[in-house]
Amino acid sequence: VNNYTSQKSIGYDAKLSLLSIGERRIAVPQKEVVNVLLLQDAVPAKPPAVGQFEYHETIFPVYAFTAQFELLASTTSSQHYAILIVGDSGVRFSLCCDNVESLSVTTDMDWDRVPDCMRLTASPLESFLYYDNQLIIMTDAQSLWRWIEHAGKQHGA
Amino acid sequence: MARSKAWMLTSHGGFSFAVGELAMVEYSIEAEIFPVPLTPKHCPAVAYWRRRFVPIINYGKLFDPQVNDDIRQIGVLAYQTQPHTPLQHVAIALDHSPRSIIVDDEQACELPMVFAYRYPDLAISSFAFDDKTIPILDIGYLCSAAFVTRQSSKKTQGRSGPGH
Repeated sequence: VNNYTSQKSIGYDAKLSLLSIGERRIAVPQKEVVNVLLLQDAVPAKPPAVGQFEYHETIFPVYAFTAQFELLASTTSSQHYAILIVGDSGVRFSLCCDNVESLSVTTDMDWDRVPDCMRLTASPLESFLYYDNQLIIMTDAQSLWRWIEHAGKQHGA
Repeated sequence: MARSKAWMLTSHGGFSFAVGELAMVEYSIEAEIFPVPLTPKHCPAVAYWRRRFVPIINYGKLFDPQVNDDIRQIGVLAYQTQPHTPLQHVAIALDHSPRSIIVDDEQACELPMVFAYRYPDLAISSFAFDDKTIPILDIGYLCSAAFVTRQSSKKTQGRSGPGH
């Protein structure tokens, strides 16, 4: 359960990690991000992962997306970082990004659940947040993992 | 003979439809529009409107896949999924400003075949206007998960039936 998906009227103070992938900005709960590492330190792994990290004796496969959430076979030239993500259900993986920053969501920010008419099977999109005159796509570890598995199958993995 | 006020809208791509008088909330040519990935083809973006995000339906794409997503004008519509529930809002990509019309019962006519074959339940009824058949849309159904599911399953099965 994500704090930021509760009703707007309740109010909350969620901390998010805000990732940039090309022009896309994606937010995940900061509590699910265990570390940020330099992508260059990843070691090779089996596709569709573009590499992997060993962190605290656990393997984190690394995945790379385009700004359209298409799974990439290799990283782009602008992707320098990898965030290590652990979900409530225990899923562990890493996601490439161009940049990471921290964002505190406050009650004066505008966000909305993704409406039914925009939801496709396995889509990781959970909510939209308006910040800095931009659309931020809010998601979480479990939703991202579901999408990686779905996209991985389409990828032929 | 009953007469009702309605709004006639021309979608992006040039497909006409009507909604009830009270459904039309705002016509905007300067909304902040953001494309969204991983969405159904007919719902490719959101508008940031009155401090909330509303989905934008590119209605023309339901009938012509070649209709582009270069959306500049929107009409924001209000609808209810059930009586006595809060209003929901959706934007429809438009090519022209909405036109206020009066429709009477004698103008009622059969729905275009495409609705029967491809989009049953999408139109409540239709009427003849300026030598055209104008469907009156069920906006709640257009915005529902059931409509998305139906489109997805049809895509899997392959399209059939006549065109628009």
